[in-house]
Amino acid sequence: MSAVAVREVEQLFHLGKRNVVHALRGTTLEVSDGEFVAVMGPSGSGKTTLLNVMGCLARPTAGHVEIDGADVTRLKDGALDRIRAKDVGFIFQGYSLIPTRTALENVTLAAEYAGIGRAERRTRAREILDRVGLADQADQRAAELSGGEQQRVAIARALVKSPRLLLADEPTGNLDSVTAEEIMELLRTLRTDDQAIVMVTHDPRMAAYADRIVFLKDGRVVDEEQLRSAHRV
Amino acid sequence: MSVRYGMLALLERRSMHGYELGRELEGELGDEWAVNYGQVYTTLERLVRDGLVVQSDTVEVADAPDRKLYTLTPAGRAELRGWFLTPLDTTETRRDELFAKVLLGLTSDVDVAEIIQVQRKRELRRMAELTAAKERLDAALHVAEVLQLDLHILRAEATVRWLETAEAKIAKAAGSGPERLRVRDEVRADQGGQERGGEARGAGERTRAKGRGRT
Repeated sequence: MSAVAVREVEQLFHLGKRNVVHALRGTTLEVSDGEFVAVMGPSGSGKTTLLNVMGCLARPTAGHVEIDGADVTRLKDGALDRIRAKDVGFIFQGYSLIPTRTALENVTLAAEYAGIGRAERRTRAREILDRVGLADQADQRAAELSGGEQQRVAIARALVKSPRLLLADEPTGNLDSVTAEEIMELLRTLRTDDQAIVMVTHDPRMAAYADRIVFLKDGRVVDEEQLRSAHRV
Repeated sequence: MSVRYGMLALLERRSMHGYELGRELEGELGDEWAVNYGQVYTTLERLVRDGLVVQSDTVEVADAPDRKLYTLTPAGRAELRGWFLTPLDTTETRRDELFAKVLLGLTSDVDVAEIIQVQRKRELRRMAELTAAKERLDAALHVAEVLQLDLHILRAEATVRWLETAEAKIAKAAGSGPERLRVRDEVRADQGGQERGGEARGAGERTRAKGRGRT
């Protein structure tokens, strides 16, 4: 089954009366369970908009979004919020952690939003921080961590709720090249077979970690390339 | 690089005989550096002739001919140090076929964007294979293999980035008739950075071409 699918999605942004940006023009993309897809394309091709639509951060002007086979396009805001909190994990270029909170608190908070019970939250948060290699830094404030460590916390925060879908927008854009590789290896190692990853990137070296690359241009999927079989052997 | 410097570097560590040198060269740098023993012995002869290496001892081996032990001389040490610290000329001097395809494609019936995309996918697929190979290795135990894979990955990345630059610049400069060809100057400058006459004139024309493209 497809973890996430967008079908014939259009996205218009009105910037003033006459200025309309057509960010997505009939984009269709289906991502299967356990599949890791990289989305490449020049600046302004609609990559981030596509990610926002997939993650229910933006409602498309036209077309459909399906998560786990269910059409979520017309759901009310509250229902979309719940899907986002429970089923979708986000990783951004700038980490987006709460700087004054500890690594553990950042992760626990995401678990709380996802509706995980109080007792289980902390156990799960500790466990996932351990898996991203930050067991010893769990009680350090986010602002005190290095860029690579902050992105590891962000990965832990995204994965603590075992989301169906992990969305990453240039996750290694701020990192040096060796740290960037470590982050990509972590993503590949930690994903489970029922989790899909969609990553937007400009960096061919990071895209090479994906199972499939989708090329976006002027708001449309113009080409794609299968790099490896989606399911690990 | 000839195997010459590889052998000098191995002999800097300790004296070795020819068979050992061949084996260690491959063991150290990977399969791509495999040499046949004929090559090892011819190189050793030349190194001895040039005074960079001396035959220092002979080791007797049961049921086999004696093995000659070779040692680095001070001159060999100086030669090796010179090699390490002299920057290599990594300028691509060969006729680059990809460059030729893209340039000639501009005036051909073929779609240049397609030439670029076909090659980009090829490079990305190769990068994925190399990345997968790297993931199977323990970086701490296989330093040579991992670094070799990195080198190939980064070179493929350079090609992808050049293709993307070329695609964007060609699209920007795309006009009708002879305008189409002006992009050549830009693509060529990105490729090699060779010295070319009329650079200022080319830049002026490019600006005009862009301006026209918008109207």
